[in-house]
Amino acid sequence: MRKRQNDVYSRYRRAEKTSLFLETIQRLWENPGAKVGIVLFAVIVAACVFAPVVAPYDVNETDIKNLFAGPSAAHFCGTDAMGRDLFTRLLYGGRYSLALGLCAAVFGSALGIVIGSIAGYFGGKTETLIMRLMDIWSSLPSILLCILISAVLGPGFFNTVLALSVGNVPIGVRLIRGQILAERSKEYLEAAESIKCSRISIMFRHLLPNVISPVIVDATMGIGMTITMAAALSYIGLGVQPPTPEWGAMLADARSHILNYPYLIMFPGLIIALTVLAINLIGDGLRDALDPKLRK
Amino acid sequence: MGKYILKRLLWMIVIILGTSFIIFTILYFTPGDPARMIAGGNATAEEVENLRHIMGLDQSYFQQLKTYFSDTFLHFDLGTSWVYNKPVIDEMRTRLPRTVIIGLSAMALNLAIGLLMGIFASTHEGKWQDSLTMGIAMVFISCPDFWVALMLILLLSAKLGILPSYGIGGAEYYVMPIICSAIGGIAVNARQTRASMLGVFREDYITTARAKGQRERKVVFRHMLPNALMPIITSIGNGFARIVAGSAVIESVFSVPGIGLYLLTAINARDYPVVRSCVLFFAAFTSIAMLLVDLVYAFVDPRIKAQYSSARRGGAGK
Amino acid sequence: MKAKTGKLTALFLSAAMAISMAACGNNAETETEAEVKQEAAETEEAVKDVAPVAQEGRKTTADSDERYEKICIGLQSDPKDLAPENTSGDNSLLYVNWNYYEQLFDYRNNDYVPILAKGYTEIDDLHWQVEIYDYIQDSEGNPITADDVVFCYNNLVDSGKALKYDKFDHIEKIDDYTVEFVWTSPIDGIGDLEWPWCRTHIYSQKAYEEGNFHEKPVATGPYKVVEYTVGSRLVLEANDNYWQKDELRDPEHLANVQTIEYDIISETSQHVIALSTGQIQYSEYVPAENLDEFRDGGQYADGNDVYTTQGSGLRVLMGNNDPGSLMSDVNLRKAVFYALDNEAIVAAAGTGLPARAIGTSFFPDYCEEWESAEGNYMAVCDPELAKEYLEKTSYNGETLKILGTSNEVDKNIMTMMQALLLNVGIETEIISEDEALVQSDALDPTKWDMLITNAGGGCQSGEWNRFTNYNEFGTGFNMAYIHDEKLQEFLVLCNSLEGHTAEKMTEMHQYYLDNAYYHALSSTAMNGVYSEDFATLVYRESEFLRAGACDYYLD
Repeated sequence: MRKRQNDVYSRYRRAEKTSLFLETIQRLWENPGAKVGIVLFAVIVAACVFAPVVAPYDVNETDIKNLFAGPSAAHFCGTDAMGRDLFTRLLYGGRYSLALGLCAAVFGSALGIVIGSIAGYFGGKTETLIMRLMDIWSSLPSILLCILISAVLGPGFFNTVLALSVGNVPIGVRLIRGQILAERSKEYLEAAESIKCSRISIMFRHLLPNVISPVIVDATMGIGMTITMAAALSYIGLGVQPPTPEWGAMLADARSHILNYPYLIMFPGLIIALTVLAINLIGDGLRDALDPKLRK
Repeated sequence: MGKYILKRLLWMIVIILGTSFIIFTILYFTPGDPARMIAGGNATAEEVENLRHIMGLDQSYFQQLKTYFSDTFLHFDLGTSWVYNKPVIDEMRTRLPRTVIIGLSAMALNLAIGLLMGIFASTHEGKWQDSLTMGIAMVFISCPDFWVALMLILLLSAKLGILPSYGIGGAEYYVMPIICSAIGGIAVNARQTRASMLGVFREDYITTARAKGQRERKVVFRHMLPNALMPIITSIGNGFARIVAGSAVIESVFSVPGIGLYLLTAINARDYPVVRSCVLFFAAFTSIAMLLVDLVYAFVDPRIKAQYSSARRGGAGK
Repeated sequence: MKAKTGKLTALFLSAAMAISMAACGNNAETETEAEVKQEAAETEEAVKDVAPVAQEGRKTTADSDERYEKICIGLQSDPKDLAPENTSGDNSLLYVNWNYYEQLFDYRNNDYVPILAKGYTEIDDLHWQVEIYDYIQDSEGNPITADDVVFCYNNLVDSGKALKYDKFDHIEKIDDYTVEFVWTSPIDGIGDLEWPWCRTHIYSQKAYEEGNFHEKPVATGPYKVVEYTVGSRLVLEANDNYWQKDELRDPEHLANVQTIEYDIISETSQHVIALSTGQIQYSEYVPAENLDEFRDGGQYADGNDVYTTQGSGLRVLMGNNDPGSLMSDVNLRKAVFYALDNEAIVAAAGTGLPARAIGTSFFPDYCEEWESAEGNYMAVCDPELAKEYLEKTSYNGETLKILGTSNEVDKNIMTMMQALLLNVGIETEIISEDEALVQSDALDPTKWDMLITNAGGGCQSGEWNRFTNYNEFGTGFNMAYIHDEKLQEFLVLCNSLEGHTAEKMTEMHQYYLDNAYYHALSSTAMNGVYSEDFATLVYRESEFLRAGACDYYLD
């Protein structure tokens, strides 16, 4: 009897979820800002993913005869201090920068979701303890925490991902917990509890899907933030190892050439700004699309 | 209310202690030997060992932790920089005004511009002015601040030569650092303002005010803005903390000897007393900013104020 | 200064010749020719970057009692702690220190020039006495006596920062103006007393105990500190109370300019802006690509000029000789070293001169014949030979770790090395870390296979000491994890007064080459951009501008 109730219930949830997902996508696409963002982002991602096909040169190919060549037909964005093609490096660099942003945002948010749901669902002492820890954790602004962790771990891709994601955790925890608090008293949870679903199952099968949308929005915006933060890290000498063509590292390398070869600093900066812009537009659109108040 | 403040202050002490513990532990396990850094490249192993002893680095973790905690929290002594050999507190006192000047001015600037942009956009909701303003805000938020800084240097210092590009001195030295620190916040505030303005747009009292035939300008500034400001206040604390923390990057671009640059150089030189003190400063600063914002918020919003009073009555059990 | 210029020209010419001779791998002949032409053009350019000579008929500070008003000098980093215990540190500190601190002797051309001291007498091998002038006083009028000198030495030793003091046992006061040094062993090495005598600052005990020397030291030098804003600027004023009589005053200890301001500017591109707008008058940190703008015909040439000289520093690459590293195989080291092209590396670094032997021609004891020595892998780049050596090894596509600091020059060098080594089929991974990490990781043989380090010293054999001596680290191994008794014998011999000969040093250099222990990459070049207010430029130890001793135009 109980089992059947449960089945009906989850089937209902699933049906609702599918339509909700499609609806969200549809609403996102109808938003002109988000549409621009999606197209822009898709172009950038495609260019980076297919870098070996698109790029005219090899990523670390040095050409001593052609240092600091200005933008031309042969080199769309010119060449750098080592005669490497800047356009090629921008394409390949996107793989690292986007991956950094994506990994750090996903990893940070995932950790935040797990901790936040534990706090929100169990409540009581567990919640107090976790939230107090988060207070301490977030008493340091994320960029500082990031600089510190990065200095401790040393340079490298995974160390940088870790350093970047650490600051995202408390934000995710707070968001999820706040949502769960609001949701905890709703009827469907009582229903689930009354039919003795396990706590874990309640939390992950019933509660999370209902509260996750603000975290998704936040994580999306987080990707953009993280990309700029990664660039700032590289700028102050932390971050990935050379000759990794990460965008921030390219900016940092170019700064002593700013006077004579400003394009070396202009192009990586522009591509960062464009990417972050695209991501933010999508995030904005997502927020509107997922907002129950705006949903009719 | 008083009890609430007291409780918050006590909790702040716990946060500071916790942060100190964490930062001490992180630094303890940080690779790189401070003694070797200070002894320099010419020192022999024996000389470095000698220096380690003098600096107390050869003691155990717990011993060092004990010394650090008793110095910092019992004697209120932040220690002496290993690299500068100057009491950290003195150096921070000299540097603090520079960081705070930049932070406060940037905050004021981004609030002013952000509010105006937000109001402008919300009063033209759906029109091209709205999209344009929000588009600009979106572009602002997407540009890395140090990149904007480099571009400004290129334009204002190298090409036009109207502003000095590094160091400190008169007011003109602060112009570019302030603009660069403000730029991210402008966008945040503009978006926030627009959103909350639109939120109160269709509230009954606004309709009433309009119905009474009040002029639109008055409706916007007298009735809508004060109510729309509420959520903005909460973002001020966060914004200010973020600007101050971001000072590390901006200060290093413009060679401004503030707290942020102090921290960065100290990390590179493994000057732990300085790193610990700076981090402590940023943690305390963030906590205080948050507390103040909460208090102001409670003060302006009668609903929350009422909540606190009732909580006090309930909590005190009278 | 003139002799230096001559040497520099010769160096560029030999560089050009070596390039034309070196059959550098893949390069087609035409390209090589083009390089020669380019190199020749650079030679001409280099000749232009000579030290300024005071123009006839113009009034300068040298022939007048007047002082030039103020000079601003750009530094890249903060001198940090000005206290006298800090004798080592980054260049900024060394740069400013000589203005206000004086020592018993100055070190010039491996010789001790008396400054505070009148001279010294050798009582026996282990006891030397130094007499100081009896009228020395600091800028605040405190007299300096033998007690102060003893205090200064003991203070330095107690601070734990006394470097290269292994010959120093202790110091005693003999009378008010005489002290006796007691050595642990006879003074028989080149520059044995450079650190104890020429880098130990002398000041008054009273001033030290009453003042704050970390920010405002008071000493006997031609300048005194008036304002120090940590992280931003250091302002010095001429010491009107200078102790020495005019006729005895050392020419390097003059005060020809009233105010010297050191501005700390971390970004190199900002140095260009500051010079072009006249905020500063002298900088050595202008990026190589911007130098042309300050030369004749450049956009900032009006009122500015460039002086190029070779510095003493040498960038050295070493293989890890620990058995755990593949680089302990001499054939792999040779393969790597033959594959490297110092010309390309210097081009990538954007600064410095390509090294052609393990040494810097800056030093008088450097021999140019090392450059043409048999098996000198630094003078040529030969990928074919590199591949031959590679075949003799067990190397099978493993990734070798190159360790270096995260400053831009090191990063660029490592990137170029990676590309060059890939040409011959050697895979590498770059590990660039901040200086503190490199210093500790260098001591762990599992962390690297190749290490880039900067060596320096007072003379060539002294420069070799740092990376060759196995007693430097207390591990029994030297920096490259070599414990080679024969190498150590060579080193000790070359650094002793009787063994410091061209013949012995050439033998040692050949021993380096035969074992392929080290590969010198580049020596530092100093490009000083100066405003035309300077009539002459005077450097201490040829590296640190002594602004007070320079001559300035007054009209």
